Amino acid sequence: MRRVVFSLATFIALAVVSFVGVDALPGDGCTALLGRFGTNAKIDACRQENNLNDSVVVRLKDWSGDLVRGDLGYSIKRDEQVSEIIIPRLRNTAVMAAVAALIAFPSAIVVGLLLGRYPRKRISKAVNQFSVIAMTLPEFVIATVLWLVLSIWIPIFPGVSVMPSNASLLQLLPNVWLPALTLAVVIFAHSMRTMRASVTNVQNMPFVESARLRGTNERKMISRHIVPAALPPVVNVVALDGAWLLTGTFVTEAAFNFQGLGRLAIDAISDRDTALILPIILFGLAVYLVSSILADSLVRVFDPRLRSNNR
Amino acid sequence: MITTLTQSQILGFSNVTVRIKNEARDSRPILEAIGLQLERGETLGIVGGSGSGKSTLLRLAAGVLTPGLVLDQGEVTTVGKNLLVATPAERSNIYGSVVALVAQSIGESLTPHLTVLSHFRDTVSGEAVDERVLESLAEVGLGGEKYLHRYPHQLSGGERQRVLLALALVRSPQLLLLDEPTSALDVSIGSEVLTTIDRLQRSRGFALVCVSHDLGVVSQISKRIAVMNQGRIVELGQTSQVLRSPSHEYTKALVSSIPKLDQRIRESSSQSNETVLVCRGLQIVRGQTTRAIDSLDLEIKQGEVVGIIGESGSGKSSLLSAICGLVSVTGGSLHDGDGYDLSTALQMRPREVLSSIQMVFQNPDDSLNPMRTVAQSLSRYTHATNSEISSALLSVGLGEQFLTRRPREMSGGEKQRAAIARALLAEPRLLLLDEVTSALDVTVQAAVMKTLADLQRKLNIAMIIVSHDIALVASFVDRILVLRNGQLVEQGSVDDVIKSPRDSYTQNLINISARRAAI
Repeated sequence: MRRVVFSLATFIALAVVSFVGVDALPGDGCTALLGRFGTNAKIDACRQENNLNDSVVVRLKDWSGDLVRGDLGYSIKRDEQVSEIIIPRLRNTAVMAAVAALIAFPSAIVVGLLLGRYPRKRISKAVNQFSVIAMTLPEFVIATVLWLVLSIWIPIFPGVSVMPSNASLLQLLPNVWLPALTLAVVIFAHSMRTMRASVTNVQNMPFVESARLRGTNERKMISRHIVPAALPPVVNVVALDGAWLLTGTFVTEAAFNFQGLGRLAIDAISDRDTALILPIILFGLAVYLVSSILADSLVRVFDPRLRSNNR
Repeated sequence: MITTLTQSQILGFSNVTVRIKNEARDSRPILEAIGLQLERGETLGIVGGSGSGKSTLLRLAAGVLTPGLVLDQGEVTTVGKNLLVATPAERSNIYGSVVALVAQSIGESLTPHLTVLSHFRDTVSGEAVDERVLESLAEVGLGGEKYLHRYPHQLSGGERQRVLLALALVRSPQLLLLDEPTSALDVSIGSEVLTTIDRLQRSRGFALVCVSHDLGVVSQISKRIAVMNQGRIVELGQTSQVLRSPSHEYTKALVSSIPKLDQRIRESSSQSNETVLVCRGLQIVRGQTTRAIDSLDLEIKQGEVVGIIGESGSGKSSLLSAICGLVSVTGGSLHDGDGYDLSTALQMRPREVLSSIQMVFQNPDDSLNPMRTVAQSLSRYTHATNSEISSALLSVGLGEQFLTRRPREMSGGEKQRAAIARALLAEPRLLLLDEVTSALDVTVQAAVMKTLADLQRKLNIAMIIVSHDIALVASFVDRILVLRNGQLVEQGSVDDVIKSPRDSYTQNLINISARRAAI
């Protein structure tokens, strides 16, 4: 509970810092809208109209008041409510993230368990080494390779998504696969390696040998003794990767021209559309704070010692 | 060579030699030409120092060969089978139902995320599991349902050892293998656990092999004893006979090294009237509210040796830590002989005060920097010259060749001697010894204590020695203090405390020790 309050305070503090920071950047909604054709008089008029001449404190107050009421603001540049721009793209990114997570996490845990059981086998070491490559390759390289194989050589998926941001789910799905697979490769490597190392570590603990010497069969050894003890570090990695799936997919979305939040963020930054940048930053903040709270509570489920310390 | 066990035999080692993998054949093996038979229902104790191969032997009996070791020759037959070549499925059928092993590290042998009941459910199934588990726990002295749903971290050391015993015995194995069943427990609790094991063995009639470094432990629960040294069984016979008339040199040393309540290893020296430490109404609070030490009065004279006895949690280590400045004093007063206030933080103490109080810690592996040679470790902070260091080393029985050695090239006893030499280089007036021999083998312990006795006589420094072993303390000190839950429950001269203890707890410790010594 204290943790939630603390996170909320962190969120508010960072939100204020973000607002002031973005405000300090040269340019605002009016210069973004009028571009280099904007004369000083036109820009001034525009600022007057949108209350941009108020002091930072006043605007921060207005903005946060709107935020609390659920109003994300208004993009002068796009002449649209921010929520109407963000929500469909957020949905697209969320679908992509969900597909990537469903592909990567369960398989990573199973593969990590199998490889971790036999850390000395050649296949175990080979897969582990190969996953280092997957982790270190930039996403655009993975994206290019997948695109080459699954779109050009074997044309299963569309190479570039050509869909409006508010396409229906049915239209969206074919376009999700390639970016989702690209992300899945990276997070699979992360979580699989963590699981493998954790299982190898847990297997050598005295309580595992002790359980074996009591006659516990292998199936119970794995399901009751090894996996629950091996999962906590993996939960933390999964939480971080999960948050990254929702907030860090700029490169992949750009590579496939996928109409998601990452793509929108790049556009917003290059347009200096401050009204649009801020909510995206805040969303990222919230995702990381929530995911780390979730991870911590999940780890508590696996480790009774942490539960009793919290009393 | 194939041994055939007779029907009545349950365990047989024939000419077993175990080596470190890939090591030259002329190097000393871990186990060498071990021959041993155990009848059904028989009890055997295996005693030996660290590195004697006793744990390797015990694990081999359960078909477990520590990774990195190879069976060079010979054969181990457990209940008619060679477990080393058994498949995992065959093993899990045998473990728990025919053979059970309780490993040494009781702190880590229970799965941290499972309750006591869940541990039982691994191997006990069918109807009325809860009733069977309750019965099993009651048998090892853990009555009541409250233990069923506890997690390992909610159990004390003694309770964990009892749970492990119950888990090992719940399916009535014919052979129970115990590795150091009491080494992680306080003396009185260890003694109670041994009594339980003895009772269960008598009523159930399983065969028992118990490995320990402590002759007292194995003799309490086994009819026969095997003494191991450097990978060999040097003596094997009836417990009473081995203890009364040991034939092998090592066994003789082992028996004579056990501290005895009525045997002094150090003569009292002349004490001056000068005090080196005074504390009045001392109080030390650790954590939020735990009173590690509560209103303690203590005065130590120059050249006096004081022993502090107590179990874990009694506050004995907190007291030493407070004197040398590692723990802060929360109440009362603590002064050295010159009246300097020792409740000052360590960083604030002047150099003379720092060097006048020295402490030697329990585990030399943690107190000597593994990267430094002995000379480097000993000259740091003391700024001693090489000749000063050599003479300090010589006074603790280490030759000049140790100057350039690193901790990994030294035995436990040698490391502890080096740590003592380092403390002496600071020319302390008060030397604090915190369980300095509890990580050492009993023969090594005797030698280190003799060295300390010589040093004390020669230098006439005051010492506080803290230990869980009342016989060790009684044989060495002038005055005994018994601490319990932070309170001083008894204090007096060795004779007074040992001959007429006033506190029941002291009485209990003396009884256990006397029983050990009487073996």
